[in-house]
Amino acid sequence: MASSRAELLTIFQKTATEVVEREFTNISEKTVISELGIDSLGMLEIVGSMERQLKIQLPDEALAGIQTVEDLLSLVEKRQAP
Amino acid sequence: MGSTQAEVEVSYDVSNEFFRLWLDERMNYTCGIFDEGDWHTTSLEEAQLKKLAWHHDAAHLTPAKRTLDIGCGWGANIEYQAVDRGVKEVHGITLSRSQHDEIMRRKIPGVTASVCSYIDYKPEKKFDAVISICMMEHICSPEEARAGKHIEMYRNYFRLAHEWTNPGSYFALQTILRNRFPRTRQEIQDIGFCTYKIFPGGITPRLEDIIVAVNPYWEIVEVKTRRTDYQKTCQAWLDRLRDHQDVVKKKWGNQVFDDYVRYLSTCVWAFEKHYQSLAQYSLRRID
Repeated sequence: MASSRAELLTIFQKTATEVVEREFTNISEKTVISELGIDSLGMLEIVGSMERQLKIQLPDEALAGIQTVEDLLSLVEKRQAP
Repeated sequence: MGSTQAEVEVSYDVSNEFFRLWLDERMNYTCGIFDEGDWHTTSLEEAQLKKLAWHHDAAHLTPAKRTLDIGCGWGANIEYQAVDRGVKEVHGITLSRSQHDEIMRRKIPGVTASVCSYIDYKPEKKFDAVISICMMEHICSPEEARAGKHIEMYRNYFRLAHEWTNPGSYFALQTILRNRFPRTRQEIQDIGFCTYKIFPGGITPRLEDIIVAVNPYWEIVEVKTRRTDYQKTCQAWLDRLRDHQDVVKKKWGNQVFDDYVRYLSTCVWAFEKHYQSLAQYSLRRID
């Protein structure tokens, strides 16, 4: 069953904490991922972990355009549908 | 501008003797063909010969066809086409001076070669066929690809090949393909190591880049992917390198051995996990 946006945001926050080994508070969908101190390598790791948890695969060409948490969650949401 | 001469020499000028230890006897440094329909081999030498024969056919070569090899390496392909298949005039270009020295050492009848970038190359006479085996990986740097310049750079390469050939020519092309980014830190770092340390200045194209960039110069007649063949090729190179561990460490140092083991091991799993693939193409000139 597809996760809701709120659930996806929680999954992102938990995954980012595991990957970067730092506690994140106050992450919203408008948060710019690089401003969390997560570099492109960390971003790919987070994407990989979320793909495994949610059993989806995101297309590589779409990853380059991800700036905010919202960008990533929208992409995940699309891949989960229906 | 892709790989500079200095960067190409990082990749290919460790020492001819070093590469001779773990490549096949002809010194092909590209994917061989281990499986083709009902035909199979476990021999690296046979696999490389099969690859050279594939390119002969894909380029529609005959003894009379004047042929250009762009990125000719140590001369395996030009020697095969001239000696084994009787093509009378074959010219190779490479940016590596060590590779050029090796070609000159072989003194192959009918074969000429020059140290030259494809960008600066100006042939005296037009060719009837082109072969280019895993040279496209040096055309565009990772920075240029990120800046979105790659398609135009690849298209310029196809434009030049078109300009250098006569109507009716065929172009046999082989490229490694970038299929999918890995998703773990270690795998990303290992692939980054190969990209930046072993092959600086270059990046593998994506299949869709090639499909777009050949236009309006070449028609794609055939495309064949050979991901598992390259996995087997890299495994064979890795096994041979390990067989020569003592001599490699003694002559070139532990770091060179460790770097090449890491690079070839990375290639084996990168092909296995679909991060990379390989494609061969037969292209017909659009006249």
